[in-house]
Amino acid sequence: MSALLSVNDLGVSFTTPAGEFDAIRHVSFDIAAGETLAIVGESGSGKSTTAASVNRLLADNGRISGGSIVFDGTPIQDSDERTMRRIRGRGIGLVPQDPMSNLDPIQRVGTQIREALEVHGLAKGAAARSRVVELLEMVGIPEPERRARQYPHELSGGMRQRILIAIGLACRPKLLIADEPTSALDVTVQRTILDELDRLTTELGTAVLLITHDLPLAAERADSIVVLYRGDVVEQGGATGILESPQHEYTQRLLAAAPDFDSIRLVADRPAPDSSGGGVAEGSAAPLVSLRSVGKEYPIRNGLWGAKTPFVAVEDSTFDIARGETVAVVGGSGSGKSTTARLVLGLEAPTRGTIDFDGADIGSLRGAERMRFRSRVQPVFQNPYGSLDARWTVRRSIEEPMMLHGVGDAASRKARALELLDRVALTSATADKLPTEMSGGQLQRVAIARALALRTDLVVLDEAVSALDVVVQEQILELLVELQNELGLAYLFISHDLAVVRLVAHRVHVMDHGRIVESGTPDQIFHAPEHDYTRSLLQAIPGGVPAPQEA
Amino acid sequence: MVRFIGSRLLRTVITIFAVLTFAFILARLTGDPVRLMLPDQATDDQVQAMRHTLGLDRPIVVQYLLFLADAARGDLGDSIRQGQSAFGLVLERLPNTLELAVTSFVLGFVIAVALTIIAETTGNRRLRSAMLWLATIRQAIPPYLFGILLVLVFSVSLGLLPAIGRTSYASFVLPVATMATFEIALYLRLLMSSFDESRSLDYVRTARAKGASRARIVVRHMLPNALLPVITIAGINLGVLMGGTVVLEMVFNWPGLGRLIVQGVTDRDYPIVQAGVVLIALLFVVVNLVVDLLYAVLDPRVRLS
Repeated sequence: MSALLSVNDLGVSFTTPAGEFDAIRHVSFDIAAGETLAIVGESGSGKSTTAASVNRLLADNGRISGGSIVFDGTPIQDSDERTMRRIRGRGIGLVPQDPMSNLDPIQRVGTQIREALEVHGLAKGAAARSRVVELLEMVGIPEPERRARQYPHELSGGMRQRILIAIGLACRPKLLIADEPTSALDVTVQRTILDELDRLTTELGTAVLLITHDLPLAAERADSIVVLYRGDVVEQGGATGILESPQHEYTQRLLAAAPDFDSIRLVADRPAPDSSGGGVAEGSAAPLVSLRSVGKEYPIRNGLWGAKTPFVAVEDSTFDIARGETVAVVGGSGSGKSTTARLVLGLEAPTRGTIDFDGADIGSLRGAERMRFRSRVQPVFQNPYGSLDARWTVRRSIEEPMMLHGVGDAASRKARALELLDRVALTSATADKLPTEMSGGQLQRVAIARALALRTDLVVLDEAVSALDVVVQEQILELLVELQNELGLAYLFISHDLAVVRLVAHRVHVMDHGRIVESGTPDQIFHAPEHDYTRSLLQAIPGGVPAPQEA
Repeated sequence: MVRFIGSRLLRTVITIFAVLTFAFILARLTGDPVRLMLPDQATDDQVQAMRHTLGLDRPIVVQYLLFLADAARGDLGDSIRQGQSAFGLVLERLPNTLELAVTSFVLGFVIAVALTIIAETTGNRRLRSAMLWLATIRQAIPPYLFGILLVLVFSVSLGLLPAIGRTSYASFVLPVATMATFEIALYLRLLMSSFDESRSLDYVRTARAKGASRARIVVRHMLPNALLPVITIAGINLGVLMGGTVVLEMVFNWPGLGRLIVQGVTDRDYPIVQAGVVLIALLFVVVNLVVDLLYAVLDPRVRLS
């Protein structure tokens, strides 16, 4: 049987101000009808470029520099726009990555699905409308008639992703390109969406080209896998083969770095003062931070006449962070974990309850005391590109907290900045670089260095490793643990990823809809989860322990 | 939605109130009108009598409140030179200005949108940069200079069109051409830069992946999204246009609002100036209210907030 899609010796290059640059070289693979092939790699590996060249939607400065792409018997590597327009949507569908940005914000979602049918003349008028409703039903959207008339901002991320799947499959294409189809979604939703995608493509007999950074996920979903590293194919073959006996050193590193249930934890268990996580046992040292019945509400205007109903972001949160300890708060989006981070940072005041830092209520701190509190608690955020000023050198960013708090003189601040860079394993040459000249992992190290510039006791890590590739993520986690051991830092580790949390946390609190639903040590949470929500988070880990299933 | 409209209306009322207050202060700054109205040899008694009839001898707060009460009834005093209601005189001239401003605005906006669509659909880079160059050059020439240039070419040299006054439809051509070209240049540049940003947006790529043609994507997705921010600017600009035809009305001797106000300034006829300023401000505020409401209709995301 000949392949549905056959990519042979494909090369793509981009013209940049710095000159010609090869994004991928000598990429070859075949996908048979109904088969799923995954392309795996970290950011910059060329996996999305490969996908974009298959339906010929490369950015304007990109071009196919060599090789061939044969789809359904037709070579399409240099077909004109007209030919490609007939193939796109009808022959090759696309499910893009980010459901927030991939729908036209001012067009009803039904209209956007209908467009996919209309441009290929497959349906129009009333027939098109009823087909749209069928498609919405197919991708599991309740009340399809009503939803079809809504705008993207009225739907949740998961629903929007379903809309995009409906668009991708509207014309029943033979091949579906799924470019990181769930990376922007909540962990608990990811699995549902992937299952849905699996079910639909199996039903319709659609072949899938799955693009992902997640090797365990690829192994779980695909028949065969291509591993890309900096534009080169380093390994390809059957999914189980690659997972069980990876040949290339990079694939081995990818697998080793991906945290799962078998990964060795980076920190040792600490004796718990109180296994519930709340309350302070007698005789133990006073905790560094202590939250007591903390609540946070936001007023939300509701309905026509603007009656205000409060939105409860955090409700009745009680836990402690001991000195030198890592406390993790885990949950999906909207669980209240980031609000908790902002409250502990003192960026927002709780509407109920108290937060004590080193024995003093942070809400009552004023003037110099407040400044001192600020110098002892520092944040590291998810996106290092966004949290460092793009026009400031690395050194200036690290020196800023010292300037603000009047620490030292110019010479001593510079010395301290260089010392901190060394501490986070960056060379002193990086001091004069700009954020644009550095990688995400390096920038996150800079953000950590900045957080340590003052005499910091607590670092609030808000999804600090979530945006990083697994290999880099592992390195940053190791760095964090090392710094904790050396400096006695306490961490408030906010994450959606239980597998990562398990590696570094001493204590875990699982949050759902603003409430802490379960607390305990990583072992307790992992091996004896009590709450349903915790179990669903555990199931979201690809390649994790199979959940006990009913036959 | 009700709340949205309510808040915009409230804002409009507050703005109008501020404008009236400003107009009141402005009038007190232009010098003593009594001296101007009476002959030079008038006695102090005559001046006092005049001040009394005009109410200028009362405390300033009382004057202000009376002014507001009159303004609420549409009475902004009588013209000192012509003795008629100042607001009435100003209103009388308004249509002449509006026809000029609105025609230029509509022509300019529509032509700019059409040109942008053509440039984007054909994807012709040369056409695009030629348009941008012309637009930049046009924007660099001040309206009075451009108007005079048009008069020189089409009236003086070629004798095709009337140069001044408002006598026939032909007399519209030159003033409208002067203003409309400026409008085209403005919106062309706004729309094109808006398109530049949206070309690489994710939802545009999604539409391409459906197999939609370039023209369809431009008209259905890129244009509506690009128009949203432009509409806000257009609202402000239409307001400016209505008050800003002053120079043009002087160049083309157009019997509009602007010319009347300039006349009022030279005659120190402060009620006319005051009424003119208030009217222009009112127009400005109303146009912006309409734009805000239009925005809410066009952008579903605004309706909820």
